[in-house]
Amino acid sequence: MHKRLLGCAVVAIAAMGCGDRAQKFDSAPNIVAKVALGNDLVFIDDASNMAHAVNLTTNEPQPKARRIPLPASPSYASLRPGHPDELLVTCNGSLDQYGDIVEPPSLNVIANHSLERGYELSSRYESTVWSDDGQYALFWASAQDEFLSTPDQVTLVDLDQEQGSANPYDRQLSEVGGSLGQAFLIPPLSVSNRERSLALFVFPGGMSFWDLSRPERHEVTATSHANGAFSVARVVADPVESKLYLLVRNSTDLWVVSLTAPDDPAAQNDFRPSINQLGLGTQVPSDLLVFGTGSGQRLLTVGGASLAVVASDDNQVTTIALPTTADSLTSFEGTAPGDSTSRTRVLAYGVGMGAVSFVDLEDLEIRTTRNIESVNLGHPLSRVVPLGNNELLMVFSDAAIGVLSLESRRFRPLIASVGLGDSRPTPSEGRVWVAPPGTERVGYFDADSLESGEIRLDRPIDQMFLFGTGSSQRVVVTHPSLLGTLTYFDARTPTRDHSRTLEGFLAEGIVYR
Amino acid sequence: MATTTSMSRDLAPTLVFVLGLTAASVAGAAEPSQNQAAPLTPKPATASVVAPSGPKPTSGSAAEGTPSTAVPPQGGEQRQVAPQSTAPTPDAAAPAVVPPEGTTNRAEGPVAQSGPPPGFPPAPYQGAAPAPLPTQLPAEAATESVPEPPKTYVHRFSLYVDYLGQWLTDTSYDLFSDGDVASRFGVTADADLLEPASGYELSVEAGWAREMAEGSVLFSRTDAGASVPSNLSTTLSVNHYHAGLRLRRVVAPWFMPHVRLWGGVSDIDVDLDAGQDGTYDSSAWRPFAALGAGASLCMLPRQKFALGVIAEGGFILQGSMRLEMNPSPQPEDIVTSGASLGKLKRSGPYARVGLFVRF
Repeated sequence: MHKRLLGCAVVAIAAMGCGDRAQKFDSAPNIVAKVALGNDLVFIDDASNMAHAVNLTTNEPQPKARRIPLPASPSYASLRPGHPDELLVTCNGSLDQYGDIVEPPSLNVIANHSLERGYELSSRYESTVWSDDGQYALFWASAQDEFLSTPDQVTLVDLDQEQGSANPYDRQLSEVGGSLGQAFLIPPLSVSNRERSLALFVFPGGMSFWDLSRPERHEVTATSHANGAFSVARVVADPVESKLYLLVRNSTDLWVVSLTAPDDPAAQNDFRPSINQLGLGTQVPSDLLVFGTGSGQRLLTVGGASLAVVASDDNQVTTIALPTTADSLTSFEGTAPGDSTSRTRVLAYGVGMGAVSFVDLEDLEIRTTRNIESVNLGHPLSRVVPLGNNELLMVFSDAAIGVLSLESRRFRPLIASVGLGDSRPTPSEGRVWVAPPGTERVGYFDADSLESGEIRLDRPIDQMFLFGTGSSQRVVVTHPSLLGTLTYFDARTPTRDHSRTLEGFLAEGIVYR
Repeated sequence: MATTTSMSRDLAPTLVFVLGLTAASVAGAAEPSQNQAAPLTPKPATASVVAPSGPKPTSGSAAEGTPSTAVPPQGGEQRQVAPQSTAPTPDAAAPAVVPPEGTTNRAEGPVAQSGPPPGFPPAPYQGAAPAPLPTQLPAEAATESVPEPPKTYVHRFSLYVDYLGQWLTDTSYDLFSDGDVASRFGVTADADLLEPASGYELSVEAGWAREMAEGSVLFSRTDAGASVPSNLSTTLSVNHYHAGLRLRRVVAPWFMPHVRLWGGVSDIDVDLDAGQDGTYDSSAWRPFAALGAGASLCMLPRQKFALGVIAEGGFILQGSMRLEMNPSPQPEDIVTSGASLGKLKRSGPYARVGLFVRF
């Protein structure tokens, strides 16, 4: 009798001891993206398939993290272009142990603190491109680990429309000398008397164009005669002339694509591309921009220490020597020393260079180098950040930072105690914030007076964000941590007394999940 | 036979029992061994002597045909009844003295057995052969030559050393354990309070128990199975202070099922150690109430210190505790607040096993 009772007790206790720890307590948060969405700082967690949105403009003493469930395996997130209140999140979906799809890949839109809509994708893609107006998302380059992958399949999502039978739209492209290598979305152009958005696909043997307003039509193909693989570095559209300008990697030529009406009126598509390859006479061009003059559209390219101006009407090329080496061009409207007329002007600068060149576009092909003025910065340039009011923040790879006035062409540097090359200075209303990763100090200075200050935090800095405007503007700094840590303070009173640190928000309410 | 009139009440049962044994020995009757539990009834002998048993008056309901009937004296006054010379009849199985129904084996101090306890069958008649009447023996001589009779003791107190496993299936407990059972070890003392009814005993108890659980390397794996540099370790330590009431049914001296209503407060401490991220401590007092049922098995019910085992099952109802990441910054640190992980739920069924000693 005693033995039976004891045996029953032992069995009961053993049975009660069964049970495993919930998986949510095992997996470490894996933040794949941090995005400022409205008043929320959103952390996309791949481990929990969750978006954690922390409202940082509230006056509550302790901001709470709001959880937004996501489809499986979120991998990428960014603001929708032209729609700063919508966050696009790409999810890879999930497979079971046999490799069968349990949850398909998807593109999802977070808005108003919830998952507003989603679009199921037919495949898991590795590359995405968004149109500048935010209407289209184009997915290409299927993942190679699928049982059968189609390298030339693309999927177009119209984000202005809900998911439907033709949205997303899958298209199997016709190869041009090989598999698809690149994809670009072209801003709306007026072609054959109709404005349309185009997708440009680059293949080793040429390119093809897809009319996004008529996705059911076949793409239009144009072959190239380039030696070797055909790879495009930059694409710029000229909406006035309905031309595309392409910079091809490792080529000193400029590729001009004219989109005109087809010769055959019975053709399925109502446009046809024609390619013209122009020799620029410069080093390999790295940047280009289109500008208008009284005598027509012009294209300006920069390659090394020279500029090239291309007349859009007759493809006439004018090469101009630069006093500095540059790889990027930035245009602005403003005055210049000795010229009080506001005109379109260009700043040419290069990463690692210690000097920049101002280029006046007025009669540039005639005046050539007389329209160019160089300014010595004294430090190797790392990054350029627009500040507004025709001022640029120049971030250097050494321990320096400065403000360059595009109109007065005056440069005022600030010397820092740490290297700022990895920092992403963030301008706010008249003030610039600098938070070098790995350090514990946030610096700030007034863009006009260069009056500076700093605030010491208690933890190393990971990333900095700015939220709100006016009196509710806040600076938010994230810290490396397991369960999420951030510090925020009022941008007008950056002191430790007015700062607050929030810890563990990635695990907020984890017991209830 | 001499008649003793001034013997103390405590010694009287012993003497009476010894005399009875002696008489039976002389008569050649078979004596049961000491460790036999059954022969608690004084054997009918040619000379049956019954002494009053203090607070437990014996009844005079002797079975029919009993050769000698002992009538207890009233008021506890010790009295020896002269044995009859009549030999017992073979079918005289009933004891000479039958305890009143519902009487337990409890008395103040060691007493002679006055009848079988509840749950024990009456002792069989031993079939004593006719023998010459015993001659008068001095009490001192009998004490030296006869072994001590079996004694029983009143057990009013108990001490328990027990293990209690509480089944906590809520995921909040997963923060502290891979399993679902919260183990607590403790001690409990109880004292019999009263007998609300025949065969029932109500006792009051108080005790303490300690519960510890640790969870390590939480949030330490990536989806690919790789480990991350930092992780979370948790510690749950609880001191339980409880009191309660237990109602026992004395089915037999060795088997006593019970129901138990108990409750108390728990001093719960939670430590979260996130390594470089910091440590977070929180504590709370939470009351609880529990209802259980089980049984005690007493191994040596007639010893002065009776050992036994207890098994019990039931349900503990307890308030939840908020799991807060309360940082403990230095005075010069930036004001810091932590997240709330949720609530640690503490209610659940339990199983309890333990050892006890009654005395």
